[in-house]
Amino acid sequence: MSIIKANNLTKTYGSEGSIVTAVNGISFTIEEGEFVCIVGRSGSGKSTLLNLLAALDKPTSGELYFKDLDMMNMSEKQLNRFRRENMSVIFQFHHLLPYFTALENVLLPYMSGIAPINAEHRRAAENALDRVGLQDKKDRLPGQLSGGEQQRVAIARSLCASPDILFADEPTGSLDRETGDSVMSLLSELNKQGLAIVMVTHQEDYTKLASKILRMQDGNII
Amino acid sequence: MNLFTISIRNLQRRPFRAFIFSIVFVAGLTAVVGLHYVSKDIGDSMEEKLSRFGANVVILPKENNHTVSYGGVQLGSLSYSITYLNEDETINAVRTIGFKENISAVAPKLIEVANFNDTPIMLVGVDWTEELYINSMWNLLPEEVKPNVYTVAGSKSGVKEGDIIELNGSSITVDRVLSQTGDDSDNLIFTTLANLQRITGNENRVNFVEVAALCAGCPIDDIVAQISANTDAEVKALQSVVKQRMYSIEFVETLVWCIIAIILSASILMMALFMLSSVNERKKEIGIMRAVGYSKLAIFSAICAEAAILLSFSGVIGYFAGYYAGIKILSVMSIDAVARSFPVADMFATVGIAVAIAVLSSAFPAMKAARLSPAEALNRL
Ligand SMILES: Nc1ncnc2c1ncn2[C@@H]1O[C@H](COP(=O)(O)OP(=O)(O)OP(=O)(O)O)[C@@H](O)[C@H]1O
Ligand SMILES: [Mg+2]
Repeated sequence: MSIIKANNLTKTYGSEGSIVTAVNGISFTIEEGEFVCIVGRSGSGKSTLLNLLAALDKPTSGELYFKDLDMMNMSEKQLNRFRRENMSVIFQFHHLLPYFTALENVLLPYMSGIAPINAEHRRAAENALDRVGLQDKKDRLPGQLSGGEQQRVAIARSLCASPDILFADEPTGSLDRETGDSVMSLLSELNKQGLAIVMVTHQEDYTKLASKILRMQDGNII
Repeated sequence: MNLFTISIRNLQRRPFRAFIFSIVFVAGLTAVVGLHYVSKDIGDSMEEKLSRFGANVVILPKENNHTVSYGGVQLGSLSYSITYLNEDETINAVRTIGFKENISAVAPKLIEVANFNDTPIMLVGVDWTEELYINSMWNLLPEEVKPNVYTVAGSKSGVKEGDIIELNGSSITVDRVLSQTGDDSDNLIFTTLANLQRITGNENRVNFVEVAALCAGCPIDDIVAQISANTDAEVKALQSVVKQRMYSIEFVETLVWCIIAIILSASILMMALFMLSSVNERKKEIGIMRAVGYSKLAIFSAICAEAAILLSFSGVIGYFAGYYAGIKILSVMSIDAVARSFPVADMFATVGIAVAIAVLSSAFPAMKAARLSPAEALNRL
């Protein structure tokens, strides 16, 4: 069963007069456990497409399904739930809260309500940090971690809720070659354990890991 | 750890800013609360003080003079008999009205004419306790005025300390000469009412009664009407005195309220500005929270909670400071603060209102932040 199905997906920015079509009627499917790479020149619409798939932005038109959920017609509440339970995202800039420790950043998704986090959440978070090899640095603030370590904290956070799919926008973009490689091998490892991954990248050799490559140009897949 | 941990951490992250903000807000609230209590007490106290410079209601026997006019020439009024008021009944009539709390003094008076060195001299019998209340410019101390018989002479009465005035075979010794006041009392002799009544055989009789009524919160006309209902005598309000007093009091109160309004709007604006800038610089954080599934409501709550935490702290401190500052200001102005225990309920109400204002003024930026799509919020670096 396909995990994501996009049909004629379109996203335009701006209004009358100066409309930019960042994603121009794209159709494709992603199967469970797949590793998909999105590549293309700068400005070709990769980030825009990823944001649409991760429900971080609303498509202008088209159809988008997550399993059998119609993402175009989801309520705000359903969208929040989807973001919390079914998918997670990591970015080029790791987007950690500077005033939370590594462990607390991993716990962030559980702090969205009045109910305090419980022992089970804590165990899941520590487990996730363990998986990315940062158990010993869990009490450090992001400022006390290297770029690669910060990215791994972000990955741990995205693993915590055991999502069905992980979206990554240039996760190695701000890392040096070696650190980037280690993050990539971590992602590939996770993929082997069954996690579907959709990743935007500029580095051609990372596409070797992919089971499918979407090449973009001017908002289209070529 | 829960949603509000985020609010608290955010405050802790910029302790200096939160501190400055709290200081300003505490100062504002201190001023508002302080002024509020000052204005509340000052109205009462000013009126009480003003009422020490004379009565504002007079009770006289029913009109017994006729204005005599003949051939278009006014001959003035002609009293053809002297009538008296019953002292106890009249005082009782005043002390039992609905607005009895507003009556600060009831001063009965009996007037007799005596001879001193072959010149007629006016003797006024007064109830010293009440009289000292409305005639504070005499500068007589209550302990000085002996309960039995005490007599003072006006500065222009021609009578000296130790002089003896004869009346109906009794002698009255003048205990003291008053300093000049500039009004009618300069020419009069004041003596203990009960003694004068006994000497002249006018027991329980008075010519008129002066009343000092506090009019804040109730119109003098109502007081007059209520006294009139209790007595056959004529009750007159000295309207000009009343108006002047109320004008001064209302002026002070209005002034205080204007200052309060200005401080309050400045604080609200500042709070709105503070929240707006703190939300704007946290758009990215908001984007992260949205991306991991926080609802708009959760984000809105976290931001509002931040303002609420800040405000409830500075609110309590500001209220305490204001309350005691108010007492201090009153004592500097040598006004007696109304005795009250610390108004805990008022404090919670005030802090509640402050928090509500904080939440309202952060509502707009919070709403603006929550409305962004996660992608939009994340892109605003
Ligand atoms: N918020 C926006 N408003 C208007 N135009 C936008 C916005 N975001 C992106 N665009 C435009 O949409 C197009 C696609 O942008 P997008 O960020 O998806 O490109 P990209 O492939 O991720 O590029 P890069 O490799 O540089 O990250 C670009 O032309 C860009 O200018
Ligand atoms: Mg991009």
